[in-house]
Amino acid sequence: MSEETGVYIFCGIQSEQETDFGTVQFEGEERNIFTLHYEDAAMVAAEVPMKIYHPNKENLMVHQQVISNVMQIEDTVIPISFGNVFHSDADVIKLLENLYPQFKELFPQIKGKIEVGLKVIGKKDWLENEIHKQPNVREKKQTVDQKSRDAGYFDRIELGEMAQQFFQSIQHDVKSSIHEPLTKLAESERENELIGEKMLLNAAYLIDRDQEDAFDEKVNEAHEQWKDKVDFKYTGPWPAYNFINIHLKVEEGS
Amino acid sequence: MAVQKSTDSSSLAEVIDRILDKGIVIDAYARVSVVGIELITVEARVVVASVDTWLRYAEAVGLLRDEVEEEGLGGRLAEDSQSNERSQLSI
Repeated sequence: MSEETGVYIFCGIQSEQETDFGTVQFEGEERNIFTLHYEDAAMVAAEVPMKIYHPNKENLMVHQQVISNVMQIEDTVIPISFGNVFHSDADVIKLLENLYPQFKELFPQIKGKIEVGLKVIGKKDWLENEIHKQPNVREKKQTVDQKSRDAGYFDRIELGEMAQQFFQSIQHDVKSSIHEPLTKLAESERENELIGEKMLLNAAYLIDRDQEDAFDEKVNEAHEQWKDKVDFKYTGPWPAYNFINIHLKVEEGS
Repeated sequence: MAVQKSTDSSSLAEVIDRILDKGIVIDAYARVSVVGIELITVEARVVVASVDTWLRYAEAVGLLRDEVEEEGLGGRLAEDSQSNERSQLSI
């Protein structure tokens, strides 16, 4: 059973040329990375034992590393999510053939483009300082402190509401002062859900490689302006994960 | 520059954020039973577009939550779902 092999796919690229992307260390074994073709589209793949690959740190980083390497050479990369193993090369080519109409549409739109991510997280000290500057909050806090726990129930709720409004106003400031100027340099942008209360921005930008330096610079300008208040988590270059969304369902034949 | 971007292992959370359920996503069921499949239903919802002509399609429903080892990834479920192009094909 462990003898059976499958074909793991990493990403799609626009290429008619068979390409050897070297090797990758996958669960302790060295695997060749090769391409499977249909028309001017190709899947970047490796032959691996047929089994379920768990999304542990090592496996996830291998997947990402292969895509990063491909992106060094190829300028049109369509990311595929982690963990997809197919029975044979022929199955992958069949899949590619059926995805081809979408690939054809995507290629010109992502050619030469990369995704970068920016998370902005408020520093706890700064947030605490800021909220205590608000007179209505200070006043309400005093009321809460003076009352017993039960008597102050509704006051605490109101205080919570004020805190929420406070966060919303900061999110708004971050959006207009950081996000909007960056959007001007991007081909497209996407705001993802904020994770946790202190996160003020969670955005992905699709940018042209030619704009990469200018974008980096703009991020640094914004950081310079905000660095005492917030932390930046700036990542990339990624393939356009946040801008490509194709969902496949496989059903068993009857 | 003070802020440098990277995709290395220090940004594992960022990697997870992307590679589990973005890009081309193939159903959990498929990963398990990929051997011997005969039929694929392709549900293609979307694509990239530029800022002004953004084709807005649905976000895929969160996948493989039970296999995800790290915590704090939930919460991204289907948003506005629309325009499902379905086609059947044989492998």
